[in-house]
Amino acid sequence: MSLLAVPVFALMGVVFHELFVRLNVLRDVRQVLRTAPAATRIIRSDTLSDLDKEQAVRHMSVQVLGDTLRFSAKLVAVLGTCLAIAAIAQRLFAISPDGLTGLLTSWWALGALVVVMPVYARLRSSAPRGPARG
Amino acid sequence: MKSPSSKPPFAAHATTGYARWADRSARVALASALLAPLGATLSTPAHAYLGPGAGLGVIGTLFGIVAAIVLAMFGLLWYPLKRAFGRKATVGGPPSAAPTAAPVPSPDPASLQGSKASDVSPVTPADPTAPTAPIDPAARRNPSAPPE
Repeated sequence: MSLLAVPVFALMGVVFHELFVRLNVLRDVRQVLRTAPAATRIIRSDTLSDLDKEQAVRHMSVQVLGDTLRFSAKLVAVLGTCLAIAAIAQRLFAISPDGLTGLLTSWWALGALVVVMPVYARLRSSAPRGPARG
Repeated sequence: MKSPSSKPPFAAHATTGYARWADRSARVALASALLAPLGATLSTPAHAYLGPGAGLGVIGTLFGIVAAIVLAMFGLLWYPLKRAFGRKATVGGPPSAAPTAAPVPSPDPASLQGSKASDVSPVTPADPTAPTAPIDPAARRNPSAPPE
């Protein structure tokens, strides 16, 4: 295993974090987690009629499914981008003798990601922000 | 005659909602604890690594899909069936089975002390156009209906 794996996985960690934040993946997850209890409250409501409940529950079902698919598509895109970076690096530099699978399952990968991602997130959150655009 | 101590230990105090929830949770935890070693014994090595990001993503996706399916079953099956069977019972059942409007209680004057007059609305029937006197059946007939 070449030491080149460390900067490659550091780059993957930075790209993962940036895409995860900029694509608002967490917002979709929160939306799903917020809609499910709201639907439960509607189903158990004593003041709404069954017709209102039926319409609201149908709407919320579609909403949950849409949010889930959007969140999954974004996550697949983020992970696919990271996988593409690793595949390109492996193809160009032959970092791991075991191929892409050996590269992704190496301890170098896990160690680099565990160190780089929290450090980058910390630096990113403490960086000064520019003036608000209006 | 069974004594109260013959009940299962989890159901002994399941009287309130929280107690019932705790009872159910305890049963689920007990079943999980019994089944977990069995699952660990039967599993085979996957020769793969699933990181926390992908793992949480898979869990979130499964949760969302299950929630959407459950909600769709409520919206597409449960409420239409409930409405259909409720209507059938109303049409074919005894008159007492038909839903009736709950009587509107008259406001208690003692409870209205301190409230403004505009806050208290007079008790009105559900249908303001409902007749108060018996109507001649001939007059009730729809004039556009064909003659019998």
